[in-house]
Amino acid sequence: MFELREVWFSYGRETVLKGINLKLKEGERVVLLGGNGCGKSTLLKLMDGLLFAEKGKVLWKGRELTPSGLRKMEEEFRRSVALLFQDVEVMLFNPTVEDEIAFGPRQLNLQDVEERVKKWGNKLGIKPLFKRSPAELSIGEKKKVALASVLVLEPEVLLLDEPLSNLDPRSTGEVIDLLWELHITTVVATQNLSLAAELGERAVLLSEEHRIIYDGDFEGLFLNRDLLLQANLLHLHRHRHGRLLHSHFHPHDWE
Amino acid sequence: MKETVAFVFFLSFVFFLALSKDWRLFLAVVFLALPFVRLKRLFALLILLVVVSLPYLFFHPSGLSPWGWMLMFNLRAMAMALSSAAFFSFVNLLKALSFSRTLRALFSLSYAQFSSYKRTYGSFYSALRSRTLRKRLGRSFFPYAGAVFSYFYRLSEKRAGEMNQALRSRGFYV
Ligand SMILES: Nc1ncnc2c1ncn2[C@@H]1O[C@H](COP(=O)(O)OP(=O)(O)OP(=O)(O)O)[C@@H](O)[C@H]1O
Ligand SMILES: [Mg+2]
Repeated sequence: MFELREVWFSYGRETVLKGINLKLKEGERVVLLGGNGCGKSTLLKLMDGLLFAEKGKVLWKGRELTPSGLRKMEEEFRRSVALLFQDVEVMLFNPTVEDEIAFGPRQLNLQDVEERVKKWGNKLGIKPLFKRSPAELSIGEKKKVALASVLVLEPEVLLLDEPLSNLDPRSTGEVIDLLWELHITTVVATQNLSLAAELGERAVLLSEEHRIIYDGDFEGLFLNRDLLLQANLLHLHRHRHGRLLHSHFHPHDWE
Repeated sequence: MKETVAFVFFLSFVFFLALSKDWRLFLAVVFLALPFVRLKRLFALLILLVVVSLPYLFFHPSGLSPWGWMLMFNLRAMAMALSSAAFFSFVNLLKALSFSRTLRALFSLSYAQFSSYKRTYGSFYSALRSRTLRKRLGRSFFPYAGAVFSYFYRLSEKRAGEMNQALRSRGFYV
């Protein structure tokens, strides 16, 4: 489905991705892990054809994503690949939630827009918000609206940037279940180590040096404490129970 | 559809106003529109007009009295602005623009940008309030204003870039 070959990317002088190699098979669920600023969001934007590799290649179905290459197949590509932005506010600008969810399908001339909108509104439990303006919603509600407006496209590949942050425990569980119900290729970026294993089968770990330092199953990852420390996903935590001093590693599992 | 027709009529009316030189017409329009416009908006408009017309005292077409010219100019601007405000209190602009998905998206985009600024400014201000002890901002207002300005500049740069990416991702440029 996707293939990244020796991809390098920088914002100005700052190189944020160094020699990334990644191959994505159809139906695979990859979880992209890494600390703040390691380049997860950037990698997703490269895969969504919003940024372009400086060195190396990003291939989608064997076709290279370059500005000119993408222009020729933009409609097909946008229907097939969808990205949930980390800052969902940048995605929301329609007058009502209902319009917001319908925006993508209308732009891409999909069929049965109304039905789709209803279906995904129900699945995410945001039907009661349909007539409200996305601008006035709470952060978690915004996240659900943005998620609905991405899922409504029913794409072949879903790129999700921190889809679970700001969701309450019940919604978190529901969204995880929903993602498993869909049999599509997904790449989820997160720094939440405790939920990561619930989001996919394959873990890809980005280090602070912007390189992939692990690519494999979760068992292997969890056994490798040094790697997790190196990627800033664990820290040494000390606390007391009365006179007893505890010291252990634990994950960053909050936002 | 109804809204679109009304919108087209209204646009031609505004063009007509812009070309007209009849102060009686302007006055009539202003008085007709006045009841439909909120007081706050009226004040903002008046202040804006005063500020905008000051330079015209010095740079007016020669041979005309600056006052008469300014009055005409302001009356016309009032007539256009007030009738627009009145018109849009009846007609939903988004519905009026429904004939073009591009126009509609552009309009809601700028509206979203504006309301996001308003909210950011609100939280910025309350954050400042919660971090300063005195009730009144007093002298700390000026560095604050500077900070707000440069922050908003950066924010708009980054936001605009990401909003554009989000639009592209959702098929706006297809
Ligand atoms: N538009 C931009 N301009 C300049 N630098 C940027 C821009 N976007 C990101 N960066 C920088 O690139 C680096 C990687 O950013 P990115 O958003 O990809 O990280 P991330 O892994 O998603 O982090 P987080 O977990 O905090 O979301 C960061 O150091 C960031 O400061
Ligand atoms: Mg990120």
